Amino acid sequence: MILYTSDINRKEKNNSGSSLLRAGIIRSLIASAFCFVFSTVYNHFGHRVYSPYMTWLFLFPLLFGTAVYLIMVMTGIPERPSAAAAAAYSSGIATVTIGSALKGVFAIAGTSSPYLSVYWAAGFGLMGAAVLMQYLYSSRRAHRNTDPSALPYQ
Amino acid sequence: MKKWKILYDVMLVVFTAFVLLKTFVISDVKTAQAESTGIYTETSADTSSSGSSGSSSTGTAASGTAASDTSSSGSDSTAVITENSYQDDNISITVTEERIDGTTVYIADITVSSVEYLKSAFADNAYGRNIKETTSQMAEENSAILAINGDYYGFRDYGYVLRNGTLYRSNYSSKNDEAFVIYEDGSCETVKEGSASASSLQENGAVQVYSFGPGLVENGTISVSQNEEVSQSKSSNPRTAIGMISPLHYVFVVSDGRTSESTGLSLYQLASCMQDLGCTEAYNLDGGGSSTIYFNGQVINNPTDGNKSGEREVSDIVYIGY
Repeated sequence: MILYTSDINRKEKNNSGSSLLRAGIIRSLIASAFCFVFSTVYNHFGHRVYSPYMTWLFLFPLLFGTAVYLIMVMTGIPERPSAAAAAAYSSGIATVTIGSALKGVFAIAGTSSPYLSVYWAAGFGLMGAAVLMQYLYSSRRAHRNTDPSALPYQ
Repeated sequence: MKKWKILYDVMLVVFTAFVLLKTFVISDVKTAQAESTGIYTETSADTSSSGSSGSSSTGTAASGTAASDTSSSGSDSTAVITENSYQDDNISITVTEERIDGTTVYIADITVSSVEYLKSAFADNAYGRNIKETTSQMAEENSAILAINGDYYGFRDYGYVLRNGTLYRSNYSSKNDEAFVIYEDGSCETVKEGSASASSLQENGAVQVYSFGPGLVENGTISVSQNEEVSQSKSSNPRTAIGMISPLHYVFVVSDGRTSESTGLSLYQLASCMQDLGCTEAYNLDGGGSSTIYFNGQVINNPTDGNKSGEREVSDIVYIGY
């Protein structure tokens, strides 16, 4: 069997893509556990005043992070994750999680802030941008793989 | 890519710090939307120089030694001040302490000759967000005879704020939010903010509008359900309420709470208390650590947020004085 340089690079890339998702799963699981502990402690000292944004805070990293990354690993889609898209996506999760925590803190204290909308817009905007970036990245890869004139991994 | 990620994370942290400071710390003085044209325009200029200054009395209803004193009031009348009462030609106040459902409740029964003696005051005499003083500080600065904490309007961006005839804020977050309105003739009512604009209330003679809620008693009937609570709160708490028995005859009620000696009241228990006192209209003001009642120069309840004792700084007070 002859291994070409391009095959080795492809395997490395696949491995790095998979490890990117696995790292994402671990990071989002840790974030989810931290959020659960944080909201439990916060609710404990909240004189029985609760906010769903605080109580269910851990769901943001769990659903948008762990669950999504797991689905990606199990389905193999995308075949090759983009590092830039992954970074934007994780920043988006962090942003909406912090926004939810702040909304919970403010609701429990009995106040609000007009700046909270920035978190939702930026967070979900980044997550949407990450999906778009991944789509463009995958399309470009597919185009390069089918175009004989395109040099792989340049 | 890593640089951009780090830069974004730093921006996120800085922005979050800004939002927290802006919400809880940074003061923001604002201006009134419509100046007062009513009865308070004549008296507001000299509120600090005149006044009956009950603070010279040493007696309080809760713990002080009995005292009987007289002092000159702002209306040139002679005030008779005892441990638990104040009386002059225009103002009559009796403060009592009761135990209701394991909770210490302070009840001030007030009769005034004109609604102009029922006033509001802002911390640092300024309207805005995060401008705070303790109830007793504001009471002393305004020579209040009796004072309770108000609705802590400065902790929120929404809800009507109309004080001493001047309109400061006319927005609301939900049309079902309830405001308590005191009119020039001394009558009161609870209104839904979506059904009456703040400017229309002012045009109809409103001199004070508080926005916290909910309304406790309306037309003599309890208007909260047994399980209803402020926001998501489900526990007994320190409470502050204002009620009207008849025009120019009011009650201020403050309950201690969150301690082993005094558990606090639910909204329904508070509403029942107000109804039992004969209130035809009653309204819940800011409670918890804010709940404070000041009479004749002293705080007579035990303010606590459940963690530490002492007065919390708030935005405003409701007070009786000249």
